Amino acid sequence: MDLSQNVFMQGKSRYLTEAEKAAFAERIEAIRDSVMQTLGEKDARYVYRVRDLVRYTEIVGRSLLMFGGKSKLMWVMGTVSLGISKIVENMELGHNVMHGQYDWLNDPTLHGSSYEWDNVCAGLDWKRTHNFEHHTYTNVMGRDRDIGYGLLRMTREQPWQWHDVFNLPSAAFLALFFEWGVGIHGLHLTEEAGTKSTSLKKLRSPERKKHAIPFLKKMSRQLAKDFVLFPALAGRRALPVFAGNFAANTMRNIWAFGVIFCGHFSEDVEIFPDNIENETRADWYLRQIKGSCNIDGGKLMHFFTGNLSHQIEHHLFPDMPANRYAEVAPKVQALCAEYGQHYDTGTMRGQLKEVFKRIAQHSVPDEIADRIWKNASPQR
Amino acid sequence: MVTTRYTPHLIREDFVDFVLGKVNPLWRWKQACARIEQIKPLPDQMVGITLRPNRHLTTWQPGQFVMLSVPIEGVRHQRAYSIVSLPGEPLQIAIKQQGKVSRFLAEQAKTGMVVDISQPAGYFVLAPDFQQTPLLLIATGSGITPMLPLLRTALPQTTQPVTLIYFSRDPAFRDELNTLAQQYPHFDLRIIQDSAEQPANFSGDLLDELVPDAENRLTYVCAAPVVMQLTRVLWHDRNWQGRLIQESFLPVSVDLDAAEQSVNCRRAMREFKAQGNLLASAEAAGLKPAYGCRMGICNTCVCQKVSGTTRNLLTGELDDQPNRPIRLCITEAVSPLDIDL
Repeated sequence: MDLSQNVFMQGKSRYLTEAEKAAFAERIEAIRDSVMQTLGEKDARYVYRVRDLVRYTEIVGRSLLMFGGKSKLMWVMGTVSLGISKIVENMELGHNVMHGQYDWLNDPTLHGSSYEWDNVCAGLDWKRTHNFEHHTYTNVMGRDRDIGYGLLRMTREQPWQWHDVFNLPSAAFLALFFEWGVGIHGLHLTEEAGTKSTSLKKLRSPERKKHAIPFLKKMSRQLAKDFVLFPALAGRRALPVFAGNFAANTMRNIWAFGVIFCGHFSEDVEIFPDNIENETRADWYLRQIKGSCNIDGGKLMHFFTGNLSHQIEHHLFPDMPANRYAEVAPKVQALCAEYGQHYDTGTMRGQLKEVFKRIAQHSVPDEIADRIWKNASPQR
Repeated sequence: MVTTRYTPHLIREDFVDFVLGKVNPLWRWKQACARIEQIKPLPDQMVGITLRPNRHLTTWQPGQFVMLSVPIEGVRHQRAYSIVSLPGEPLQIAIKQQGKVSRFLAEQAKTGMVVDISQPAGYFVLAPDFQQTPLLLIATGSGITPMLPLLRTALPQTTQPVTLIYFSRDPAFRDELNTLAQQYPHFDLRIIQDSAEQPANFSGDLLDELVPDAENRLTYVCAAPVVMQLTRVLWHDRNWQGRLIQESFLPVSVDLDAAEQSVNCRRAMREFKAQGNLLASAEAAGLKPAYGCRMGICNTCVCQKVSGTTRNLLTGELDDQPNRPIRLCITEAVSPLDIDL
């Protein structure tokens, strides 16, 4: 066993021989095929029901905000309803549809290539930074721009800079304005994925402009809808409608931040050096498993996280309809156990605690972190 | 470029349609749709369907088709049907119960059902100067459907000879055609009843016998693949190809001589080996791209080609430009490809 070549040895997973890896990959694909061959009416009904829920909660939310009178309760209910609509639309509907999970329905309104979600991040940019860069180069330093979103220090591979002492407040800020973080993230302002020096000056270069135009178009329409059109329609109730829309967006931002950070930055999740050129399909599967973690919970948790609580399954099978992840998760977990691969899963509270611990640990230089947290793991 | 054409919506169209549809099922913001008003059986295992479109459907030219989309087991399926009626009349199509969509429409669709419908399209229409040219129409089976509106439009307006050669086991629209033949002496109706034992036997000899002046005619063919092929070869051999117009609603066939290419799907994170049209190859590899007509009409299977060279199977055109939309059903890879699927 040649340890020097195996970057995966640092984690909790067992080393696999090439033959074992190939067999593992074959079993993973068999799990995928067993589901993809049975897609049909049940899955179609599911996604249309999800969309109906998004529509009805939006109608109810906006109506309560607009016609709820002076009642505070009506305002809160309207805001929560609109917030739920936005959460479900972004996560269980938009994110999954934009992965092409429901392309096979042949329904142009649910097609990954044209779907535009209720978020300031342009669908076009999202499909490149998320579907392509993040899912191909998951947790690869210098390739996956989702490591810290160009704002946070999440690994020791990122050299410590003085402003990293604000890692925790920055994370809180990112949580509050997460859709903006994601949207601006798509502009590729930072020099290199994973580095943190964001500069607005770079917006002027033609390369950035290419990304900036879709973002500006999308952003202005989102702002116009939530903060001009609907408040204007409300007439004298413009202010509560404006506030409700802002609160609903913030509610979605915080929730999405929580889910996404739980999915890739809990304690045991590995970050990989950029040496994936000769990676095989099997290596890719293994990296997806080691670079992702699941959230335990009931049906409601899975639903509101857009099934990103099954982050591992989502990373293995990004084009599988998300409503099937729950069914394949035990199979994937059993297979991982059989091959001694660490399958990271935990409650949302537990995972969030680990995420914030990680953010805190990386806010100080590594030597200090080692002194404060005796078990701060050296690889990051 | 894609970036500059990018125009996200302010208000979601499908949301508006959802709300409008609750008031009246035919109300839509932009999309044309139609309610099934009448379904009646016709000879030759055909079914005539009368549709009432909403105001978004534009008028059509005789010979054009519309595409109907129906949900079958949750999945939308689409198929092209020639319009049998003339502009100004109620929209009528006639379908043969052979494919998935046609069987659904014939067996499960009920009057009152609302289906999505595309705008009329197609080049199987009368030439602007058709009055100066004798016409020849060749149809087999359900290929008769676009011929009916062509005949009903052409016959009253021209004095030139018009011939229809129609092969069928159980000719549909027999009465309408006979009436036209009685009404217009310059219309030569040749119905050739074939059977399973003796299928349509079209040949150069038969053509010379029935229409000795075929060379001078503008010819329209909508027929079974074997007759399509025969006429194409015959017209080519006799150097008449500029005077032949064909309509076919059949999927593109796979050419097995083409070399295999590897195609990388960026969104699905999968790679597959492609031979012939990309849609069939992707499906064979267990992928599930969206599709519609499978013959390059409807754009449902369109996806972005990030890099690589492709060939359009209908036109033979090569495309080596990056970031171009391709229709999977009529596109073949001639180099390794990177596509946004």
